[in-house]
Amino acid sequence: MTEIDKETWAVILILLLVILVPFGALMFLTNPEPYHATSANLLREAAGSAGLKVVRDFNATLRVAGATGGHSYTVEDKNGNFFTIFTQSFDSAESRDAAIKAHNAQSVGKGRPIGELIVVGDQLIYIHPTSETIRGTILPELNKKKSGIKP
Amino acid sequence: MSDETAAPKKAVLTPPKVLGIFALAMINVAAVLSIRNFPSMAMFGWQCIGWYIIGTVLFLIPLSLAGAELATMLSDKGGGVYAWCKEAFGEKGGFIAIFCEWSNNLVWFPTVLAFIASTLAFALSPALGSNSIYLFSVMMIAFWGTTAIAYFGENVSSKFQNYGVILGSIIPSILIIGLGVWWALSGATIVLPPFSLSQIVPTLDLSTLPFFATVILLFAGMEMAGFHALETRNPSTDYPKAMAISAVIIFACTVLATLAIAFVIPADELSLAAGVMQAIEYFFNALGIPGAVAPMAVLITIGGVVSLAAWLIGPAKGLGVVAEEGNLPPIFNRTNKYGSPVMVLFIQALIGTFVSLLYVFLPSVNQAYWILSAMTVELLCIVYLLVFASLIKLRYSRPDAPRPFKIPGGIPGIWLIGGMGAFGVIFAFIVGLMPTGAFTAKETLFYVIGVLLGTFILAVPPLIFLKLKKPSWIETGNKEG
Repeated sequence: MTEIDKETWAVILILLLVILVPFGALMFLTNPEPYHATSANLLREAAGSAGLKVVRDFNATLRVAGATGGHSYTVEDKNGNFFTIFTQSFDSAESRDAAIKAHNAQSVGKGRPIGELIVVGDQLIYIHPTSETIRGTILPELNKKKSGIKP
Repeated sequence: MSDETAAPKKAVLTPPKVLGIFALAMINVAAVLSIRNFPSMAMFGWQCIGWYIIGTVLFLIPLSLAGAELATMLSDKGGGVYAWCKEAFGEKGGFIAIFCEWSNNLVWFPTVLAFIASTLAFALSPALGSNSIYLFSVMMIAFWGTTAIAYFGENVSSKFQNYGVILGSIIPSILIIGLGVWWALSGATIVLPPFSLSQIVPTLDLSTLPFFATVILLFAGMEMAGFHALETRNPSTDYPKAMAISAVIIFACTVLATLAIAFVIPADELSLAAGVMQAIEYFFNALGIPGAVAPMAVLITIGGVVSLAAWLIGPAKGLGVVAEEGNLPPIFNRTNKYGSPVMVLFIQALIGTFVSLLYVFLPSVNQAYWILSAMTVELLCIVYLLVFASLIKLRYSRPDAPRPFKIPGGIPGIWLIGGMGAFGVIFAFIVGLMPTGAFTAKETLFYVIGVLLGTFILAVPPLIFLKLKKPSWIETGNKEG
């Protein structure tokens, strides 16, 4: 067995520090979104406040554990552009978080998943990648919904 | 130039030359071709063609050509990107390149493992997908099982990858393509609008820029065969052919299978069916063969495992060469009788287990995940920038070195190919810093600083290790019996 010198210990320590500390810190420092009941019309209300018009809405439930129902919305902005936003409610924080992890696991190549996932209480709101131009419009309204409803 | 003073002590065991053109090509296909990309890309409709062309021109073609030239030029050196970048920029450049390739995996492992577990759950019972104990158990079986396969060396792992990639990536892709063709020929409604050239032009604006980095790295992994140089029978002739075959298989399967899905599933439904298996289920239900969903889930699970294997084995082999050359303490330089770097594999598995544990059991990791996945992109950009820079530099520093495969066009040709690749990854690095998540201004600042700091922390250890390096590290590395 090779004797472990102080340089070797230093390398092992650095490996542990540089890899485990950032991972651990990031995961512990970011706060999980509190789980609480939200309005079934959350997206419709946020869109209205943001000056967007919902022109199409159909019920859609994902076949994943804990999904209790959702909607696929087509919204129109002031310039006549159409965007797709999908919402899904969950029966518990666990099932919601499992769905977030499942979404994150759908990364493209070694990059990131396509589209954007916003968490508001018991709902996940998925903004289609081609609809991300309205993120700046609707996001502030959704953030108000986050802060306005306490768990 | 490489640092001659740190020349490696020759390994006691010569690796068996077991890899031919097919096996090399399958290593690349295993690393790059992934069914899980198809539904996400199909959401773009005809535009997916434009995005794929961008990824192909700015990354797939340059990296394939660069890999072919560098692998054949340095076919007597193990370590893949480590050997290539070391030859151009010395030990520091080579070590940083391989360390970035290895460390970015540690962020990626939990997501691919979660994909494997959740896809398998679809074949067993979808409800299992939200069960943390199930997820973690399957993730660990896949991770440690793949590590065990890597332990038994190139002969076993290449057979596993050859069969696995055909079963788990190529057959499912061909099935999806065939069913898409059948759908079109049967007169069923094709949900895409009629084709026109203008429809394939991607929408490029501020909101889609972050996606550019994803598209560029869609074909990341084309360098993977380079890690297996010492086990290749005829590297000078086999590499270029393997690169070409794998690039064609990957491009054809990816584009055609994505379009097949886009033919059948409306974009709205794809956005709803965010997961691969939801999309596959919709696809097979629409085609009237719902019974095919569970077998397909098993095949896609196999595809996930071989992809994991390709990324788990290649960079670990590269880091094993680093240790063998005395740039890591002897404790890391343990090679078994099958030629596998056992200590690197073991440490990698331990770290991967810890990170997976955090990933599965911490409550909500949405924003943390975005930062970590952005770091993956940035680290990979560093690797590929060093590869393209090495390609160009070696044409100046080693102009007369034998190159069994040489990118045509002389110096202008090398600048064109290397320049396109470098442009792609530099641009991807910059846009990779742009947050796409639900961030406030304060969080955006936290995000950018976090990504840059994290990338720096994960890229810089090789410089510290080289400072700590002792001459005795070359001499005392030992081999298992």
